[in-house]
Amino acid sequence: MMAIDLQAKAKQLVKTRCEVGIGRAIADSFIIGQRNLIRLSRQPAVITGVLVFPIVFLTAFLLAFERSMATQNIDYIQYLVPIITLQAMFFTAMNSASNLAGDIDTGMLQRCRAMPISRAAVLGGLLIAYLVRAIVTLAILLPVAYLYGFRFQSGVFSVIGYILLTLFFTTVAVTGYALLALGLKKPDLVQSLVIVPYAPFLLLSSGFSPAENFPNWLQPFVVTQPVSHIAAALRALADGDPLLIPLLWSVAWLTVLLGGFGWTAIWLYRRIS
Amino acid sequence: MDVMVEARGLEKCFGRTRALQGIDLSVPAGSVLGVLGPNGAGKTTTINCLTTLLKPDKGYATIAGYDVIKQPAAVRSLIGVTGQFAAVDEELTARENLVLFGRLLRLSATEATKRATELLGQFELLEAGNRRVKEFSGGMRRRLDLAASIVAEPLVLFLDEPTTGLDPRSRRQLWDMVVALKERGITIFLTTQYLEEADELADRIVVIDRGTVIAEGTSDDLKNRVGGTFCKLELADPKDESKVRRALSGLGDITGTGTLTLAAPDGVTTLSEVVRRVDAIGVTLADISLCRPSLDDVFFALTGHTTGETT
Ligand SMILES: Nc1ncnc2c1ncn2[C@@H]1O[C@H](COP(=O)(O)OP(=O)(O)OP(=O)(O)O)[C@@H](O)[C@H]1O
Ligand SMILES: [Mg+2]
Repeated sequence: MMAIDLQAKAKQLVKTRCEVGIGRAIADSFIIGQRNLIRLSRQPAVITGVLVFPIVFLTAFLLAFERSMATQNIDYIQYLVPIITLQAMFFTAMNSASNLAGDIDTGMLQRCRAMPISRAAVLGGLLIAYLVRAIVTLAILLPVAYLYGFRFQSGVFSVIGYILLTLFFTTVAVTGYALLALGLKKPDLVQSLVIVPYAPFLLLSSGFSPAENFPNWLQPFVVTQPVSHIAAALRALADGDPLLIPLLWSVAWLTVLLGGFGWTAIWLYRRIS
Repeated sequence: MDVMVEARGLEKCFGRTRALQGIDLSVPAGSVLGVLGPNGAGKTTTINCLTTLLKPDKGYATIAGYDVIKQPAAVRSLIGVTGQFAAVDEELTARENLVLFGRLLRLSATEATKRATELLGQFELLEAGNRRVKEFSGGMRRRLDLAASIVAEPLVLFLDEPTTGLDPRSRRQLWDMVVALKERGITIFLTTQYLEEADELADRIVVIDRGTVIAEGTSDDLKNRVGGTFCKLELADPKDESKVRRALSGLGDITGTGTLTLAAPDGVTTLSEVVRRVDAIGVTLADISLCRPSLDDVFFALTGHTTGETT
């Protein structure tokens, strides 16, 4: 008798609690995303990271290089804003790695893994929160850039394109950094290594200064790596220049990276211990 | 009786460490199993295998008949897990934590809020409910962690060393809460390093060491194997030892040197008999006490080594 009761009760619970599918994955991602946003809004470092850093960098680079770039006939504010945008997104993604490593360290991740929620929800929730943060950053950075003289030359679609491409980049960067956090786990270690990808990809790109200004032996790297293409595509969007080539390169790079990072991150999530 | 949790031949290696070397156990529905073992025995690894967090290398396990390896999603909807280290969000308030887990477990926003309030009351956290968890004491954290594991009432609750590091009052408080959950019919799988805790909460106890089950039974069974309560006397002058041994002959086996130990089945009566006899021969004692067996004593009796020694 009791055996039947138990079986029936178990079956009932499995039925009500254990749905699968994409709808569930999205719903769970939003719940976790909301939680991440509450966390972010309570971290003072995040507030300065979002509000202050991008503006400080924009101002500093402009002051330092505007004149010398003018000698190369470059209107530096138009040239600089795209890479400052990408840099802000890079910092956003670095912070996501620290927060995820924190969740691994405190056992939050294990708790989620023992609950009947979608496998993709923890990463989905991370992404949602950091995309919101990215949008807030853009909403502050772009108006300030406007005050400094930055202009979109060709209308509202280029603004939308600029924002979408930036968010695509953020998605890839957050996924990549999630991978780093899942692989290294220890918050101190993650914290000390998040800066490592920054140097080659941001500084050794044609984002701050044209590729011709780099030593010859470095130029092949500078021109092929993804950040250079994305910065070029963003500049083309802002300036109303020919867009197709840099955009295709950017989308190709971002798609490949997202596939690789995303697949590996979910794989690591499933077997992390 | 129905079996709620069953494990057969679980094995797990981490590199060269053989964390589990064939764990067999079963927990009848509605009962509490205490898994007793020292550091590194494999308690957490066992829980991780049973809760789908870790895939065993060999063997199988089921929860209410669902296979933990082949049907992990089903198993996750039947269990609640309180890990060894309180896993709640430090930046959130206690209430926000409970609402979060409620929503993830399919409660609507209003239901989750209602359930959170109910649990805060039940776990004596109502006053602290709107404070951030990072301001909480260890005991409060543990209680919140426990509450978070039962937001949606599970069939089986896994508790990994729920009171390690708590002061006696918090420990007692947590025990009461575990007893209340048991009375609601939840099957509980509890690990601990304290015989006392297993004794207090568990219907049956499994002792594990180096990844294998070395003993199993009720706490009385175990205590009988260890010899139950014993009496410990420390002599002021070790030279008196043989004299004392002679005086106490007939009271049972005496072990040890310097500090003598003998079984005290009658508790205080045995103790006072010892004191009387030692007094009668005019020997001074530095100390005398009545001890209940600890995990160390159980271990010594079962394996011949103490919990500290490995290999
Ligand atoms: N992820 C891991 N990687 C490597 N070794 C591990 C891992 N997890 C556990 N071990 C090893 O497996 C053995 C069993 O560990 P486990 O954590 O299950 O013990 P425990 O009984 O829970 O101990 P404690 O009382 O300290 O919590 C130990 O020797 C431990 O070092
Ligand atoms: Mg453990």
